Amino acid sequence: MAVPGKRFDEFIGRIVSRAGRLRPSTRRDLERELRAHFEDAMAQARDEVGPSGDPSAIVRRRFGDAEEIGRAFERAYSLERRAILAADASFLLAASVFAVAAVVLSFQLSIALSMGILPSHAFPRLRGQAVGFVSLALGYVSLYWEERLLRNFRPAPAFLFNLSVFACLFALASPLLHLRSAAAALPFIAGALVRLLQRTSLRRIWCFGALLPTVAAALIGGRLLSTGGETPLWIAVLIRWIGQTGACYLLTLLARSHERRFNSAL
Amino acid sequence: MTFDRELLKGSISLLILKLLSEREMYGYEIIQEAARRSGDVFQFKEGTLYPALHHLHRRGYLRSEWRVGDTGRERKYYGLTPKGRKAAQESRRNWGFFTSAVNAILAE
Repeated sequence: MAVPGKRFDEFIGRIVSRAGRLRPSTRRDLERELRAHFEDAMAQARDEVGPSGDPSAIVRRRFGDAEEIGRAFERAYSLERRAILAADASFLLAASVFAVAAVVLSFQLSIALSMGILPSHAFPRLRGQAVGFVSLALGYVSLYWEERLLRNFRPAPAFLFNLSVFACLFALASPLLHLRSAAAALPFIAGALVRLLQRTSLRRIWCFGALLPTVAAALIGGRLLSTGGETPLWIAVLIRWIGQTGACYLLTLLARSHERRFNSAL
Repeated sequence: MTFDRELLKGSISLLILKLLSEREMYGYEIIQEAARRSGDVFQFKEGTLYPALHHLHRRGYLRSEWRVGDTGRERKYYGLTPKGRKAAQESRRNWGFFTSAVNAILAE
């Protein structure tokens, strides 16, 4: 004989998934409580309708709309959901910055070694680069998060909005970080442009997302690319593009893996 | 007699706090008790009770524990915390002020 509460598993699933992201323990507890409710409600409804009636229809009607109840749970757990999202977003950003740094620095080191430069001299502008790593990861991840969280997400307006917010933040932060040029802001545009292309019909050419800001910077003035005066500009552009594209590829893999976990948690 | 759903929704926290101030109960028991005491006037959508219970729980007004009840089944029992007791008293007082003010207007 089927357990009465089990008949409502699909209904309960709809309520819980509409409630949004919850801690696994909260979700299990909620499902268990609702199942217990349906056991009691079914027992009573069976007494009311007798052997020929359909008690589950009465139980559902009395319980109310799954969507509406789910939304009420979403409001009840809004703080918990925000905390989970904030922790998740911070973790993804940290992992992304680490991934970008790993790819770019490894690439840079291999070029330095092939040119006979000592590893201790391979990273002469590490502080500015560190800001660049954060910028690239932020550009990519911020668009990714907006896709996940905004119901009416539109890539192009979101891209422009992020760019404006980042420009303001960068203007405020650059004196504090003693940045002498806007070079560290370019990776943000690259990261955001790559994600933007990946979300449009131009997804096959996403790798050009990192090329456009670099080329634009080279055309405006080579100083933004800080070649050190020895490397030809086109090589600096090429190296930058390859490094950033490699980093963006890793960010794409991270985002895909995160998206799978995010969707399965809903 | 039919009641405005919004009116019922607004008073659900007050009902929960009042009923739980008397004894610990689980969700379905609260629904049954509210219906019984109100002469079946309070037949709100049963599902609306649980988000309200969880909301009060998260605000620290309720504690909960799973245990086997009189029916022999495991149920999640709710009871008031000291903060919940205070809130129950305060919401009853507020309700008293509110209803007397409304009655005063209606009586004119």
